[in-house]
Amino acid sequence: MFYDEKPEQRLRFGDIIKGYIGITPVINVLDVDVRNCDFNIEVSYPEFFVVLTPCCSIEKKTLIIAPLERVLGSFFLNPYFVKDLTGINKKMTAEQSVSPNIFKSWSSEEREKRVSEEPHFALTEFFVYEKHDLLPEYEINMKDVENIKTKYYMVNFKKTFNIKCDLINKNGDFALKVLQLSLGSRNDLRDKIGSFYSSRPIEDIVEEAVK
Amino acid sequence: MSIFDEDKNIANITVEGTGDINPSNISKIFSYPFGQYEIKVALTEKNEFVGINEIKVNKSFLDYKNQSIQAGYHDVGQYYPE
Repeated sequence: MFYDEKPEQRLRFGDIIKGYIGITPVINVLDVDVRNCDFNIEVSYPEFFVVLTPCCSIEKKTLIIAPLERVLGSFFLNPYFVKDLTGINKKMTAEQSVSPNIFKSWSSEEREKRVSEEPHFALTEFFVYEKHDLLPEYEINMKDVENIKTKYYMVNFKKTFNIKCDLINKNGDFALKVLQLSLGSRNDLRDKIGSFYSSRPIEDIVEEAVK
Repeated sequence: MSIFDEDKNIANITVEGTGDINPSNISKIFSYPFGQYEIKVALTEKNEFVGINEIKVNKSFLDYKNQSIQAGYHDVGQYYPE
């Protein structure tokens, strides 16, 4: 069960909510004197957002959110993901992490090295939300193959931002809540966003090993 | 006598079909860095040890480091364009 069948009124980590706006500051020219900065603020209107504030930190009229987005068409080129797109949220083997064509295209040495590793997360910036009747179906344009209709959605942790709203507090009702993750799915989201921030770039590991 | 081939710095250890060590059991070869050596271990489908398939010396320091470290995630983002 991906979603909680009896959602609470209060906000929880991973909730899908609506009624917010997306805001992205874009700085065109940086200057130490902020009065000379050239910037604009992009405003977007996604229908749904995901709450990324940890449950115990939801208070003081502030919330960390990211837009709920359509999934990438390229996910459907991997048969392991096609079976269940929420497999992207869990640890997987190297063979499961790419399409068979990509796997075969690796040199035998690279294949051997990757296969010898323990199951890991892949695509650490994404967490996929399961289909639900409250989430509208949409069509993805595919290259060279038939277009795909789906109700899967995802959140991209790279698009996280902060909002303020008087209606936000720890225990209060929240009328604009749409769906709540089940306990297991919320744990999966916690693990996945943890892996996004804890992944160490290969150059740092090599540098550390050389020291 | 050294078990290493002097030219290639490689020791090839043949797994004979006696007892539990049966080459047909081998499902995969696990590459395990050990000091300056790289040991290739044969495993069954259930990750049971079958035998040592090969031992070789790592001559390239960076290659060896790359063999011995794991980033902790599958670096496959390039295969999923937006």
